[in-house]
Amino acid sequence: MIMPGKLLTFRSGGVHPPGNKHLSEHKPIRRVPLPETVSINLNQHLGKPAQCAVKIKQEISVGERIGEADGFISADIHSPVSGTVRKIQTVMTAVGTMAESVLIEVDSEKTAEDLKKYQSTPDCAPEKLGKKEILEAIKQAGIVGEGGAAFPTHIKLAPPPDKPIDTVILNGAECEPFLTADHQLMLEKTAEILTGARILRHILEIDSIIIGIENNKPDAIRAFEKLIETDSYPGMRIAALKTKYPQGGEKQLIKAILDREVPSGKLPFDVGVIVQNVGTVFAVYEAVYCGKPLIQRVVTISGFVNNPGNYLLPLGVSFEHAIRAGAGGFRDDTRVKEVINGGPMMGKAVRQLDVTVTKGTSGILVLSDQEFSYDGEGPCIRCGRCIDTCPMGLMPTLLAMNARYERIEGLKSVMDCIECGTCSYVCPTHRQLVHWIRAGKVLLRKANRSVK
Amino acid sequence: MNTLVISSSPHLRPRENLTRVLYDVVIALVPALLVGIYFFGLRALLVTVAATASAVAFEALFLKISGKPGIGRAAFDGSAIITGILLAMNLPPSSPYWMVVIGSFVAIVIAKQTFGGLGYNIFNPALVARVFLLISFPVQMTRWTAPTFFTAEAITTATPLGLLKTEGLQAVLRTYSNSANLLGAIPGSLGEVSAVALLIGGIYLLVRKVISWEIPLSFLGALFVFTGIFWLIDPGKYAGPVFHLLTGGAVLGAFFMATDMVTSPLTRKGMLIFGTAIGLLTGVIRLFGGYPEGVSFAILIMNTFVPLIDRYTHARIFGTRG
Repeated sequence: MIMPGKLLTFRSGGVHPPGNKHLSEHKPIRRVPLPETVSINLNQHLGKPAQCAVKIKQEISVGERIGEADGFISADIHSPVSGTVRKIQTVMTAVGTMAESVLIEVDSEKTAEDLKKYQSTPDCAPEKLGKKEILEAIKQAGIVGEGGAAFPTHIKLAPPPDKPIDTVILNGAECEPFLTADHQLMLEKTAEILTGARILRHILEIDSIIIGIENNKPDAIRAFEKLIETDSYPGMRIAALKTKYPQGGEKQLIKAILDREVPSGKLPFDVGVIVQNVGTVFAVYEAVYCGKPLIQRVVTISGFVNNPGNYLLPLGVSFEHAIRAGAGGFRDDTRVKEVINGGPMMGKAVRQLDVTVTKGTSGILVLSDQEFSYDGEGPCIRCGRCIDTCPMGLMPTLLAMNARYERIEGLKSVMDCIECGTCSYVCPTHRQLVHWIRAGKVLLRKANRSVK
Repeated sequence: MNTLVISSSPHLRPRENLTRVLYDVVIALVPALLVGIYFFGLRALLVTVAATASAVAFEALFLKISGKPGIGRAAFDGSAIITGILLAMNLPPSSPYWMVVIGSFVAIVIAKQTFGGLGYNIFNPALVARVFLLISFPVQMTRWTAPTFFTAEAITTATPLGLLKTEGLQAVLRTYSNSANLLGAIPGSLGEVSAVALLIGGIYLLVRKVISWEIPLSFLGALFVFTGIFWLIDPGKYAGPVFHLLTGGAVLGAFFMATDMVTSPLTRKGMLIFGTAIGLLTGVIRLFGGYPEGVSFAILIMNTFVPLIDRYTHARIFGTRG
């Protein structure tokens, strides 16, 4: 049962923005008709871009590797479709950078046929599989974190020996407004995610797996609890979390569930924890049990579209195609103001609609002239709301001011900012605090480089 | 299809806007203002109107002369209106209108705009103006009238704190009861007399989260403890702590003047230091200073310490010890 009094949460700061999840909540995950072409970027992960492994005019089929991991922190990239490579070109990505991209002309019939090979799976306990083989399968599948940072999963799951891990947290908090993709995945693939969790428990040789879910998803909490009660999933438990933004921030989640604080400048494994998004864990399951690489993902398309919902999108599909062929198009083309890659708090506005879905795309959000507002910045009236609500205990208004006036000595704590956007959201004079803090990070990095 | 807008995250419409926050302050001032008008008559209303109108006018004029954009919006964002009302509330009800207008000029042009306008001023504008007027026009600024209730002629008299300074404790206790002090049926500045009405406004601001409890509570608490200690030492000479809370500008200062966001510390810890220091300074000035009342001076003095307080009361950064 969900006991309201026992909900876990991080303590300092945080806000309650309107969730807007009702638009796409409980909408079954749907496929989208394939476009004529897909354009698959080779930098879909944190670290070095993959190296192109295909040539122009090459015939290619579903699951074939088209990008090869380059260096230690990198990941393979596979084709979500069958077809022919037409171009290898530089394109703009959904986060505004430029990347090498492989344009494939899609053969829809062959794609549908080829996708079938991933469907039947022999059932066998993950504990019977070899750990090295599992890690290799995850690496071969090109899995990266689907929660946002897109860090290669095979590296995260092989922590250095001097950092013992005792707990894995599955992140099903999904605290961003509008986004419901993880929620729907948890409802439809409950057993698969738990099996994925068993795989992680096995290869990391740990006892404790905790699934953190905000209590605005009671059905997901119940679905997991029902399965865990069957005793097929030892060492697992659910942590019902208070609905509060940014509950799903890695550091906040660890604090809420385990009361451990990741030290400034350190990573979760410094406190013995690995956090994995539930989508990533599902991808691990598919890689191990179906031999399926990460070639598609669930994306919430919401906001000013005709059919907001949760869509299973192949990598490389353009935002425009996803919105028009999947979500029924814009409600009114002339009133579209902004299209966001991700959620409204941390997502990035895209420059053009031909940018494509990547392994890190959790949502496509369309804002109309009604929702979009920008009326300029006012002066800081020193109300202190940004400080009261900062989940990292920072003083955003001072950091932003120091960044603006390039006072490097006042930017010491700027790297602790997780860019959750809470400060800008609560600012009564609508100051672009996160924007300036990001600029401050760049300034500090530059200053540190010139010292060395 | 239009060109897409590229804005920095977050993309949600911000929760609040400045004007709403500032008009909440205006609303919170209404009860005390009504009591002031009830006790001191139409004159109190006219002084308030003169102060507010001239404050807004000076704000607009300054913005126009200095060529700043958005004059209409800035002049009516509520901040000049608050300054005007607060100035009036800190003046004797019998203040001559010309003096009120000079006060508005000092508050808006000298104390606020020459520092860079809203958000950049170091001192509370209304208090700078009040102290300026007190030093420049001591006669007009200390001519207090007894509450008239719209009926009798205005009779010049002394405030409870003034009486305490000049005639001693026994004279005060013969003249004013604690209940009169609480309700505000006493001479004083037109907006400071009714502790009850000010509390109602203060609670509204607390509920609306425009202010937090730290400054009012630490200010009044420190004043209570400080004056209480002296009262315990010699109750025949020193007035009790309740008397000190209910008279003069203590409640007005605690909820409306010291809590001015621009001129108070950023963190909760800093607010506690700030409020406590104001309470103690007020007590020191009242008990041992040359003026009967010390709230304005105490707040202005502590305004200068705000940058220092901010420096040493940084919030604890997540994942660090301090």
